[in-house]
Amino acid sequence: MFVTKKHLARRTFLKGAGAAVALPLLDAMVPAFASNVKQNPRIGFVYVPHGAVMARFTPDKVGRDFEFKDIMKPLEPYRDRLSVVSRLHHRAADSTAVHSLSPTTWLSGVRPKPTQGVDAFAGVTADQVAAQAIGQDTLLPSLEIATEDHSGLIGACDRDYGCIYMNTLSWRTPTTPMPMEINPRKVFERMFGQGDNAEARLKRRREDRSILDALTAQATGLQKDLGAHDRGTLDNYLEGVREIERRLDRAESQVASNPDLVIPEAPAGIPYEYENHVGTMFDLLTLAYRADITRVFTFMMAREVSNRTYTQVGVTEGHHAVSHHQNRPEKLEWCARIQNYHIGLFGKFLAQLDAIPDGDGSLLDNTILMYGSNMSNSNAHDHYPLPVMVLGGGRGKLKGGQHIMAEEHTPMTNLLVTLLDKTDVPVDKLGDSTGVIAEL
Amino acid sequence: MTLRRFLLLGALATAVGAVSAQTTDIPAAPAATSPTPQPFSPDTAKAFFTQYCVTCHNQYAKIADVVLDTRDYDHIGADPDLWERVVRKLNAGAMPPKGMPRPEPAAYKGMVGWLTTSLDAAVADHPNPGRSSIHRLNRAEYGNAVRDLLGLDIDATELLPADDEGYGFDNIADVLRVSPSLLEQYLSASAKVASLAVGDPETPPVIGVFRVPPDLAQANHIEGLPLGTRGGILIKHNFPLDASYDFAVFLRRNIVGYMVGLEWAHELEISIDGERVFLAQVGGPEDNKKSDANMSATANEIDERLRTRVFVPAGPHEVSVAFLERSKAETQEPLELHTRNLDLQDMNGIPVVDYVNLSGPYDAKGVGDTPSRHKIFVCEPKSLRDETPCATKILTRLAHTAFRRPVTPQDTETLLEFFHQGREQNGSFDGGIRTALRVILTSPDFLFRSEPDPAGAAPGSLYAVTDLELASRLSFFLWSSLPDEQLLQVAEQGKLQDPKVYEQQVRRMLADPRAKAIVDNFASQWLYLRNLQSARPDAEEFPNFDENLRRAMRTETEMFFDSIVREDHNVLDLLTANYTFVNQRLAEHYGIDGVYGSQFRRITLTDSTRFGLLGQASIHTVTSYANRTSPVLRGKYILTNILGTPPPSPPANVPSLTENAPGKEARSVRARLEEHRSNPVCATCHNVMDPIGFGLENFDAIGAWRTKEPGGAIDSSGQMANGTPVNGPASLRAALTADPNQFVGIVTEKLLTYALGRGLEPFDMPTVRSIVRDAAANGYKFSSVVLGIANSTAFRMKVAQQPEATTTAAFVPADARE
Repeated sequence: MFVTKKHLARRTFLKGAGAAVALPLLDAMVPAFASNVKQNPRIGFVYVPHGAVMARFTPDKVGRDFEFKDIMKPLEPYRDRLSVVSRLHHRAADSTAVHSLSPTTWLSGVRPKPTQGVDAFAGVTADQVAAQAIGQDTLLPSLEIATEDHSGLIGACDRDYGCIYMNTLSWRTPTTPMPMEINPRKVFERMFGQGDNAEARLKRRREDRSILDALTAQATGLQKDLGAHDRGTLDNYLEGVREIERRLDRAESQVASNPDLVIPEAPAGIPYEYENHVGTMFDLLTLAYRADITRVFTFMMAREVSNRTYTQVGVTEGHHAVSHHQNRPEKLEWCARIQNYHIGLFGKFLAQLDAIPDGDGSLLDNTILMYGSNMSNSNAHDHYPLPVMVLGGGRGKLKGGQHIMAEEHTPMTNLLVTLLDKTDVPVDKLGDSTGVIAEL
Repeated sequence: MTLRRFLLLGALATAVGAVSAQTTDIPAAPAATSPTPQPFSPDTAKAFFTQYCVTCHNQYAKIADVVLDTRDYDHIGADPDLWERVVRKLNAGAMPPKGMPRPEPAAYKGMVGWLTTSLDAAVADHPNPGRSSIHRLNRAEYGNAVRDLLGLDIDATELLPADDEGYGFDNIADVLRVSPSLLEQYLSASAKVASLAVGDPETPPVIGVFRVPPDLAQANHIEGLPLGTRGGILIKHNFPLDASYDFAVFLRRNIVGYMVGLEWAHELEISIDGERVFLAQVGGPEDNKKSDANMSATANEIDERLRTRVFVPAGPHEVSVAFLERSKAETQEPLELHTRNLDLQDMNGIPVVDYVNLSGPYDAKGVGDTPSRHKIFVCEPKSLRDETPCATKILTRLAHTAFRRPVTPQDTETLLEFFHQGREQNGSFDGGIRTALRVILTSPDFLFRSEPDPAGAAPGSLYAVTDLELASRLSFFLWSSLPDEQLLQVAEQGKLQDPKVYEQQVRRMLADPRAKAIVDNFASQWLYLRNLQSARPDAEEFPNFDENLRRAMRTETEMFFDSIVREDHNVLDLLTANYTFVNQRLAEHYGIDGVYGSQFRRITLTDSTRFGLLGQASIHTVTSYANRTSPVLRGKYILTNILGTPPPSPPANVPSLTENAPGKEARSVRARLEEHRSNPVCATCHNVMDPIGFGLENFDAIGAWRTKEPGGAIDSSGQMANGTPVNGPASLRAALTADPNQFVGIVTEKLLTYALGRGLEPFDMPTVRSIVRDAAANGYKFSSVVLGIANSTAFRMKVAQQPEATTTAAFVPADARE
């Protein structure tokens, strides 16, 4: 049966500054929902905006003997499971609408249709290709998360390519973007359901299940009077209903097979400090991988044109403003500090994954992660050469410990195809791909 | 051929051929929609455009994709896509570009008039109301609908994700999509809302963390908190049950864990709905001494001291947590009122609230008597036999409001089925209502506004939307919410067709408090007010900026816009009004004397630089960078939101401004921008944007008045696209309002986009012009624009769907084409 780790009633007050929001998600030893006999491929994509100071990112030396430049320094402990792939290019993002196009094209390599969103049409992204292949047996086919939404960024989107392309990394179909969740509590509830105890959760799932049945009938009834376009919207609604039904059914059977499951405490909401926010999201992703709740995620650690300040590393100006650095030394320094800081936070996630045994190795050994930005030099707003690296052991399929220098202007999509291939999701082509990165 | 060469060619053509042209720029923008003075005709139009425009806009050069030499001037109305673009540019006085010959003002104005008359006539012959798609409630609408349906104020941002935006607004039907995760959130939100509205005795205790922004100054009274207090936080919270709740207040510690401000005694008060429930002292000699001996232990002890468990009846209550105001004689408190404390290790100052934990319910006594229960439970079953009839009554009433239409037997049957299921599962009548309410809140009839074509409507034919659909269009336009009982009733009785009744309803709704939605959802997006929350003025450059000022800026513009709506002002007053709303904090920021206290009040402005929206700090801040003003952003803002001619995106690889380097002589933003404009590629757009933005240079990046900047005195001289010189805010304002139809037209465009929930098409522009014409006759009153929209064909009618075009499927990604 379910056991809630600590009942709130017994811990009337939470102590200490900050402790209230950063709940110890990882303290709860959640066994995998499904029996993890077969080692499953896992893949995840972590995105940062505004490129990198490439001279302080890309190693000088090629091959196994490469050196860590200062931005990447926090990842040195994972050298053996890390590859930098340089000289990749995303042509799909080459346009004046850099900030709008960078997120949507990063995992697809397809330039979307210019529109304010009415008839948005973009390439299906690599994460969703993976989710459709390896995500169908897990509770959630994929998780899409971020730390900022666009509610404070009106007018920041491009006139020709609307906000819809800036708001997500993930497109399930050419017309269905996957919204990214910024609230850890809601991510948690997607993963574990709602309710204070096993009985409440069960009751809730059953009630949800029967409500969904009723909604199907209602939507179908409503649909028959509508034109084709509107019917399509309700089709999406119905597809949502069916997907949640499948999820509830899976939860039911997985709970039944895991009588001793312990559910950790839910995060209270969006943590105030960025570091806590990102940390809580990484905790949830770690949990999701460990409990096999999903095998695919995308995480936008910060948003394009975000003007978040990073006073914790001495950057008092907004990130976007700083990113237009004009090659001025102090601004480049600030950019590098932010990039180094982001990578440091990502490094903590790697440490967590590496500390969790999985099969013969650790979770990190059995995972494929890609980290990077869809911009190179943020001052020039260009998309070549992109800062990108691949992490994890990929169940022995990834050769780490190298700096691979690809041919000039190699499509970034070649790397995506390669990673999908290593995740047991072979595809012939993605966007403008022309092949694979064989060295990986 | 490069753009530059064309410009040269154009200049040459001028010198040789354009004898009669006036080579200087005309002083004022032309009026938009005066009746056509003769002798304008297709022939004169052709001559006009040949003389002034085809140098660039010809079939070979196709600059900006506009070709004017091969047009059929006899049938202007047949090509609204092109000619509406031309009209827009001419109305803004944006063409011909600076330096090129311009026609006499009378000819210019007359030509615009002739064009618009031709375009209007064509649409009058073939009206097209357009077609908006099935419309999902967005997040704000969902929150308001819950409020109006259940009498329950919730924070929808806690329950649902932000919606995508299109055409500047987040209520655009075609952009509001549905994904499984969104549906899942609706499902989950329904449970939370139903349980809060009905009350659930089994509600588990949860903890809420309420954080005070670190840059909120807490030395003085904060608006909304009890008088006689300073600092702190106001928490508006829905208490789920009659029960006990724990409050724990945590004071700010500096980065090494030292609790700040223990030198003197302060009293912290918690009150609920104005009634004190807790008072404790912190600081003073004893705490101070202990803290010096062991700062962590003392701070922890004080944390313990600031905790209390209080019984609170179910329902919405305002919890205030603040310090009692005390004499400042013995401390240095007020010396640095509005300075952000950047020193994270600072040990001086006064104690301030960091965050409050609120948890519960504990020892619940019952569901209580809440406003939402009042609203829901119109009957109470006395016996088991009463239950089904009472549930039927409750649920049909709710469904009627939620679905905005008469309830069908099928609806009732479904809801009762869920009532019985919930009744059995939860073991109570209330439990049954709760479950059925969840069905209402997730039903497509609630979440979507659909307007099916009438049976048998020929594709492409026009029809009036039904009275009920019209009622929903009105309520979502003016309230971002459901129609209320009265509006539904009038619609169901078929009375909305009576123009008098219709107008009376519109006026009633505008006067209703719910019309605040126009400020919250329309103005806040049109004017980018929502961006204030993410503005991060540089702390070194602007130590005066803090959360208090941020809030004050937003409040000012919201109250100002609200007053325009409520008092039914001339729309132009948005730019020209000589009054505004300030509190002490903002008044000091503006250099206005004699305003004391945190509450906002209306003041008459004597300094004309602050008149209207463009004098308000909120607008200056959202159009600035963190560390400096941006005439470019301000120019772009005015072009986009005030003149309706947004500039194109910058090209790739755009060189940025050279920044002032330390140690070198500082140069003004103007000087650096001038350097930028010396690049011809940049100049095409910046020659238009920057000179407009310069007019606001006297307002710094957080809207304070200044006369100097690094690099010298402020030079706020600039120029409108039509050549009108401006110098400072007053003349900029005058230039923007010289042609009232121009500004009122843009407000109308934006408001119509928002009202219809779709982007405007060229065929909508005659509607806009006709609304503006009618409004002009009514002194451009805000209500006259709203009524114009409410009475427009676009708002009241719809075109039946054509057989499905497969536009998206046929789309070929650009990469494949290149």
